[in-house]
Amino acid sequence: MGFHHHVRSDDRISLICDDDEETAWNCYQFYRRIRKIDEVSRKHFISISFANDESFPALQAADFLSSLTRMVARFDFFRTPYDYAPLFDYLTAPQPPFTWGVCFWNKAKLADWEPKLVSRNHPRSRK
Amino acid sequence: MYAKSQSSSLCIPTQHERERLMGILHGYFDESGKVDKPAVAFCGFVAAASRIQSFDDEWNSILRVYEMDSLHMSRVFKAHVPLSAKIRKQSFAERIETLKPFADCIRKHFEYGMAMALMWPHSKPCHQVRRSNLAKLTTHTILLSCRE
Repeated sequence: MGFHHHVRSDDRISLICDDDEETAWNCYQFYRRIRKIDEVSRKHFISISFANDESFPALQAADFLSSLTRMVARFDFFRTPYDYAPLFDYLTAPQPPFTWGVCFWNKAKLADWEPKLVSRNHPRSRK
Repeated sequence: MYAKSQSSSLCIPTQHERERLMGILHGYFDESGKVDKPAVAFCGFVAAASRIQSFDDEWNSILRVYEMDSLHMSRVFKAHVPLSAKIRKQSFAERIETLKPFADCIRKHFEYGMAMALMWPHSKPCHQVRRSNLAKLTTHTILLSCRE
């Protein structure tokens, strides 16, 4: 819901979620719930659909990155060894104009951010 | 961009003639790790809509070369598991070389990538972080990254 504080009043957002049997129904219920309780979200979020990632290579790419990132995170957080460090380094090596945003939130960083997140108080609506 | 029948000789459109411009960005995101895992990741890529088709074409051509239908990391990362009739059992180093063309394809066509991972609060090390705040954290991370 935080997103709608950063979009313009005439922006519209369509969501396409992974058609995963375990999570898809929860996603839909979450979407309905947000639209029900928040008028601004109801205006901005205009559609939701579910797609098979076999037909969307970009979703396969996202799976590629997220799987790699979790391996790196497990090493960063718990020193769990993994074999694909060179691949993560290769993928995320600087190559302008490609821009990377990489964040690993371990225990210390989460604890540090907790009070800031609690104190963040966005306005409920935006004109 | 505007038709020759514009009333102005300079072809400067008046306000009511101006077409609305719209930038369309496509973002594709996926998670790794469910709530029972100690670490979860949320990652994805963003590009202008016009670049997605070329990405799809190149990605699919790599799959065809490898005689694969799609790339599923739960299988791909097991280097001892054959991926197709062409990509047989490999060492980790060989599997990494096999996957590099996919990484090249991503870097070539997308403009922005985001990789975020966090300790899941159900795991003991950070149980004190409330789940409700993780959504804010995710949003905050995405926005911070986008501003860079």
